[in-house]
Amino acid sequence: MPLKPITVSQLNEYIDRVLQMDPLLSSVRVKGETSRVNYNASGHVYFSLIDQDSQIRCFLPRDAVPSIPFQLEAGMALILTGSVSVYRKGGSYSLRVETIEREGEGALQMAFEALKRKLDQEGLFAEEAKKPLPVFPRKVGVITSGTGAAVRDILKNIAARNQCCDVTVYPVPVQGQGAAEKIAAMIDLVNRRFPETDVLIVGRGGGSPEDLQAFNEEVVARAVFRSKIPVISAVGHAIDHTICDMAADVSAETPTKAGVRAVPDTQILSAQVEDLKAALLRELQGRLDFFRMRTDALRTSLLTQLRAKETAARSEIDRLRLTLEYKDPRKILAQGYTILTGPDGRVIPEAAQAAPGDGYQILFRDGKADANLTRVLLRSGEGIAPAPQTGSHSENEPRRTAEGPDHETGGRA
Amino acid sequence: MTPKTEKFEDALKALQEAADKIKDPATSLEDAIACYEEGMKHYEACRKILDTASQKITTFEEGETEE
Repeated sequence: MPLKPITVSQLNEYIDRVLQMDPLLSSVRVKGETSRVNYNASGHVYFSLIDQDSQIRCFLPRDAVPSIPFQLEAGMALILTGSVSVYRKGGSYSLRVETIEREGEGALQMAFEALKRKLDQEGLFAEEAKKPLPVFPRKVGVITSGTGAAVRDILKNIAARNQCCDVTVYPVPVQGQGAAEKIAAMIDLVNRRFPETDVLIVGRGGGSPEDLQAFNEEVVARAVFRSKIPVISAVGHAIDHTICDMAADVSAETPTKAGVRAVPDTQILSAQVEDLKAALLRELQGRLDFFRMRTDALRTSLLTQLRAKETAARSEIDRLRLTLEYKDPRKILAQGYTILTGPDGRVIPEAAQAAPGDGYQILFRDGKADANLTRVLLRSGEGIAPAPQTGSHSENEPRRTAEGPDHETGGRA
Repeated sequence: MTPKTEKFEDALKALQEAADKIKDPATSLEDAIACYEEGMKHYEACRKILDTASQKITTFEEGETEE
């Protein structure tokens, strides 16, 4: 007996129910490549996931769209999680998508973590292995794509800060097959052929994780670590952190910042140098001023003391001069007195020291005369008596002597 | 390679040291004068390097990789 026919709707409903009850199909992970992506005006996204031989329609509901961190495009390798359901009206089934991951991403991430761990254990990222950047590089090497924004940004930023250093660009492919090996080889080459290079910038501009992959390769990390020339790594944007960044001596957030890190701003250096010069001059001037003031003060003090001594000496001399002048015998002569000197040239102040004889001299105001004393009289009491004399006395004219007019020391012939 | 008479960082360091030393009150006047002369020598060296802006930007030619 033939089966009782059911309606189309009933069939689709039944299929739907069977699929929903299947534990595998209600939560399935499926990988494939996107195709015919349609962001519908309703907010839902419709696309197909395909492989070489087959395809499945996919439906990403509107409320799940914001959780997908990238725009879906045809040709993307994805892993989708979701449930298979039936579109009863169309009689077709599709994958209702819950999560999307990019295929390879997880694998890449795992490889990245494994390599990072390995190189870290080997000490490639060790702080103490990092070389300091030169203060004033004269030769900068840039290993990056010869075209593109990165090299332009680096050159522009170096030139804006510093016109004293030479820059050589070493062009390399920064993505695609063999890029990592070529970057590593170029790092080695610069070290070998141009060891006078003061600093190397290695990097590229931003891109997808796949684009940056070359800078996550072991061969690049090892070449960076091996480099005798300090390396500044500058890969992608600030958020990108590659193995190359970790192995480098300095990791710059972007190629632009690598240019800034590589060379000092000569205007700032110039100002610094001028400040130091000014400080030198100021310090020396200050010191000289100080010593000049001190020597001036000492000189003044010396002069003052010298003047005081001079003044004291002058007044002493004046005092002595006055004394001398007061006692000057010439004054006596000027008044008409004479002075008698003996044969030995000494002044005879009193008759008792005189004896008759030759060799006496009488000093006048205006000359002198040789004298011969004939008789010496001494005053005793009221009278005058001849002194007891020895030796001969020739005749002598009476003379007034220094003893005064009333002292008769001279005798009559 | 062109011979470099004095490296900038060395000259700058020496200039900085001279400036520090001349500020030290323990430095005698004679030493201060010597410091000044020494410092000015390094200043001139720095100045000369900074004022000689002769940047060359070149691109390494691929052919040069052959050794």
